[in-house]
Amino acid sequence: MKKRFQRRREKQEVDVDITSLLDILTILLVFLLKSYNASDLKLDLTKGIEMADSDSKVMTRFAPVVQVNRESKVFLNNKEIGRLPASGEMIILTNKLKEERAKTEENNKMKKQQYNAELVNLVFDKEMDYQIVQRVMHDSALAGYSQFKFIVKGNY
Amino acid sequence: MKVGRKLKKPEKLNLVPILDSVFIFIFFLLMSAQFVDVYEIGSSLPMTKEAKDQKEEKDPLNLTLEITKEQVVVKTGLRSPRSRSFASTQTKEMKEYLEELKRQNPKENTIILKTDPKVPFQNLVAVIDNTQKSKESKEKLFEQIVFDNSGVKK
Repeated sequence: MKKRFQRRREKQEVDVDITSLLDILTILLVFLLKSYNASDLKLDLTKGIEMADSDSKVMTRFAPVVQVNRESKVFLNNKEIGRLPASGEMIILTNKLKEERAKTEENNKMKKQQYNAELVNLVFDKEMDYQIVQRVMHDSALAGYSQFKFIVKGNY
Repeated sequence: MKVGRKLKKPEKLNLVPILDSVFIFIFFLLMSAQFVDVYEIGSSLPMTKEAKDQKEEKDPLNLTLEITKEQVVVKTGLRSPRSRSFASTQTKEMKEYLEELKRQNPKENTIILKTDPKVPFQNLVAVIDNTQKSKESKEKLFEQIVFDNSGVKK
């Protein structure tokens, strides 16, 4: 009697149909590959900025990012550094950019990396007046940056 | 006489390693995905150099765009300056004119932008887009952008 209960049924292998899972994975893979961006610049857009639309297809490059939002707040590498004054230069922006430039040059010397120390990425809200763009370019030039890259959104 | 055939069971493909690698690949792509396509428009500070005696040389193009909210004035030439105005809506006409200028001066690639302080950034970007590439042939037009901040004379 005891022996009867001890006898076990032979286990059958269960086939799981993974075709649908593979379909989903393939679609996800294609979608992600399509939206993959090989640029080394990772941009976190701050609040109050809507980027300008452009036909440009030039890839962004790693460099300090200066963002100015609708309320004229200035961000350097996603950290708020103050508000643009009503007129004149923004000394804190120039000083912070000088520090950034010194850091890049030092890292380049130590051969940790090779980045262009004269390049600065500028992000502005699309409704912003050119006079603000002009002032930020001026302050960046005072810090030794001579190549300005406007970051824009690709047009479809 | 019957020939006994052994029934072959179809061999199963082992998909586990490929599924593992696909999962890792998807994870990597998800981490590095940027769902907004971001590009750049470049501009440099103007460089200065000593001018040679240009008496016998061709009049330089000196292509200058004066941008205001309402219109864009395209100015060319140093010795015999010419200008042509386009309403801000006439982007197609302006692009055609710039393409014609490029055909006449294939070696020129610099454009000077004089922008009114009140022009919105989007308008400026739209004008720059029209100066970069020709629509049909996708040839480069005037890629070197220089900002002249002396202001627009109205």
